[in-house]
Amino acid sequence: MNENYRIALAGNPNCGKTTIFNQLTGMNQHVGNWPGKTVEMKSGVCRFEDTTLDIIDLPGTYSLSAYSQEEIIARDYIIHEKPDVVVCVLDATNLERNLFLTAQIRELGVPVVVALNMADLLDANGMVIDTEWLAKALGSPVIYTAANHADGLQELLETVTETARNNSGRPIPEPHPHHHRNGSQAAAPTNGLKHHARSHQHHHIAWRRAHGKGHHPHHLNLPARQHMLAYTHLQDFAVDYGREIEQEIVALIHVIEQFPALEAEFPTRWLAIKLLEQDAEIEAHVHEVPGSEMIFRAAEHSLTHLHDIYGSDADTMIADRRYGWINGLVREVVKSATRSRLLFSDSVDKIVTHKVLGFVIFFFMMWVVFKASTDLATPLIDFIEGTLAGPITQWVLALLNALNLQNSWVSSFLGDGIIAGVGGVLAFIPVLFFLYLTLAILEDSGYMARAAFLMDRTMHSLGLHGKSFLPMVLGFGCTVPALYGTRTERNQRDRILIGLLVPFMSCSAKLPVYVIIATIFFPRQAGLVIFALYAMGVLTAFLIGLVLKKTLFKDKEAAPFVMELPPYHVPTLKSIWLHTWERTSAFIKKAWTVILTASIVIWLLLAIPVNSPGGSFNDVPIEESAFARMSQLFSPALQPTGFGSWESAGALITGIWGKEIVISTYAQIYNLAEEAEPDDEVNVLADLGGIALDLGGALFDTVKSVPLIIGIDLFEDDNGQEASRLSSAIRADFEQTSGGHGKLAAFSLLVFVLYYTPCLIALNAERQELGWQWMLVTAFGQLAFAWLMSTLIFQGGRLLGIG
Amino acid sequence: MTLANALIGETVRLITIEGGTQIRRRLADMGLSTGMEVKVITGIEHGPIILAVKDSRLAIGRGMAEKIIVEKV
Repeated sequence: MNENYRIALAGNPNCGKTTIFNQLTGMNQHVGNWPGKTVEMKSGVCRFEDTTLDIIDLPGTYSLSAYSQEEIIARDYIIHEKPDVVVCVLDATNLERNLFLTAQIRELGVPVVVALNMADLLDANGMVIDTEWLAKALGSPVIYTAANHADGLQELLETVTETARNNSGRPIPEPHPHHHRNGSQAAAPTNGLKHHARSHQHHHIAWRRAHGKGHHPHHLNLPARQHMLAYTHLQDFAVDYGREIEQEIVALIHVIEQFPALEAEFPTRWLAIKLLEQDAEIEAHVHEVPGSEMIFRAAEHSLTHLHDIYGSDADTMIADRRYGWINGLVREVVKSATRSRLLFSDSVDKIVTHKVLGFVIFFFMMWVVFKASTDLATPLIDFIEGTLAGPITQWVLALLNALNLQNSWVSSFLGDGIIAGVGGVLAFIPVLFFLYLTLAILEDSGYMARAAFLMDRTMHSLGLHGKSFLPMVLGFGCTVPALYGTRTERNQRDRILIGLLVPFMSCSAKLPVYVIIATIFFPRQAGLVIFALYAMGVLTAFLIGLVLKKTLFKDKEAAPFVMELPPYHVPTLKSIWLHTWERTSAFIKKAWTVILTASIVIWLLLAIPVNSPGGSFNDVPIEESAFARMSQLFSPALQPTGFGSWESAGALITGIWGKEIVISTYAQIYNLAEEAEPDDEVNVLADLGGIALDLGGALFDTVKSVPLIIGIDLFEDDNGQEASRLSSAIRADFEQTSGGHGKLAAFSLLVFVLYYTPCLIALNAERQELGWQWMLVTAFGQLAFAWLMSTLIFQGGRLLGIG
Repeated sequence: MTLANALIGETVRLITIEGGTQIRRRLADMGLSTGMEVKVITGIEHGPIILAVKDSRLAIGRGMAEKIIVEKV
């Protein structure tokens, strides 16, 4: 018998829901977007015994009100897609807040299994939960899990399939031998006890339907008080909202029941509650039903009545009652608490969020992040470049030799086009990987939430809030994942504002340009120049943000800032890995085609002769190639900036495909790329051995660099022979175009690289996330701004006699 | 008094939350409802504060804290 069920995971952010999802589905995941939304949708398949479970990871939400896109998505999925079981994942150490969402999901009348996650932290907090009562009160089975240790997942799956089976009306298979069965409840799930894997005495799991047994503990506020509760045929669960509200709910249900279409679509009691809460999304939906004015009249009547009684809106009262109900339940169910985990977090927070010390720690953390991403990545980048230029190129040349194609255009295409392009993509991965790795550690441990807290005041002056600071930091790696990071913003104008500012955070592709140009012209102060560029970027973003707030976004009120600060904890390797990989791969997926194409196009343009008397394809003086001719069209416009040569214009144009390409174009133009000669004999095995050794060495160097992160010798030796040859060529070019003010022109170029149009990959992401018009604003606005700033610096510098 | 005036370490009870339905609902979702007691853990002058709300910790912007009317416990 092969059964197939659809399971949805719901829960608060930070409750470990995604960890459970990852544990259940492993690598069997599909990540996409919710149809028509910018919210990520994760689904996966889990096979358990002979059952196939299609698992959907609903967005992490605090409730099912329609506050954010995520909440609407989660709610719509449960209502319209009707999953066989919804697994509510709760942080067991923070039951009260977490139960708010569970209560709302139960009100929807869907079959629920409750996973009390992070159960391993209960002991440390001195907490004991009476799961039997909790299961009764919620009318759902309750299972302990500790997803980061993969604990309790077996029980969870058993209970989920059982619950799904029982609700599907399909025959129930023979019970597992250790289950005690209550034969009188044919349709009800097993009524028994399961022992938690870790077999703590109090860690037993009980499952009983709320009304399945005759006795209720009289002091537990169970929903079985028949006096006024309005049950529907779907529900065996209800929060008691108190006499007055319940009366209005009953009245509204009577009206709703006259509309079979609505009755079929929504649980009626739930719909009545939503109407009393004046949920805009639901109201709009009900409006579409013909004759629904009647419902609104009834709702209006109820709301006025309740307002007269309570003096406040019904939705406040409903939330209060829901919390009241939960509060009563938690008091009954949770025994004792020393909350040591929270006490520890609180004392750390006193230091980490201190108005002086907090900022010192913050800047130190950011410094470590950048040092880690540059220092740890360098050995690996060298390894990748060395392997591509060495053995790989040798193999290709040997192959071409064998085919008698040496020195043909094919050889040049493979070497300068393809291999250079692949190298361009691969060389990025280490930097991004280490940047996102360190950020993931800070995020998963809980520190980033504190950093957002510290940055709230600063961001507030831009009309943003503390949370918007994270996408900005991600922007130092790559603009693409940073733009995805804005998806958690509630309002589109915030997203646009952040999206416009993110490109001013110097992305990691600009760093090699900074390093090489700065070491050529400012060998002694290279570090300082690079730091100045980063600082200029941040400062400019801030000033532009201020200007935008005063002009385009004038009527925009600062978004309210409420954010949960999860207790500090040691992040798991798996979650760090997934976080890091998600962001790094977002770059690779978007970038590889673009960078490879760019490399091929540039090779082609360099190979095609234009107005070249003696030139032919792949054999043309560089200044007579199509590339040079095209660049010559743009160089006059760059005259005032001090770097008006066609070489610079060409390098900058290629930089629109990717900023790091600026340097490789300079190298290609000055014909400095090493012409590799094929060795007489190629020994693939020996080469492979050499590559493995090199990789080992690179990894060792990476590890060795860890303690150096705290040190300051950032930009030392990197001046190979090639760089010095390149440097004299570039130096001569700049001295000439600037009329002897080479240093000033070089700085002007660096400023131009900092500000001008983001790469195509980033622009494409802007178009997807913000729309065409804002992408064009970014593309042309930044180009104009860069030209203006470079001109100001060069002309101003000359007037002042600098450089 | 408002939550913004509460001192660090002080425990206060929520009386009302001013401002629109959206903000009220959001705060309720995050665990803040009227009648409950919260403790101010720490805060930055003219900046946000950290609140202990039951078993969770919430960071709340200054602007929002000014809209929450509280009384000392």
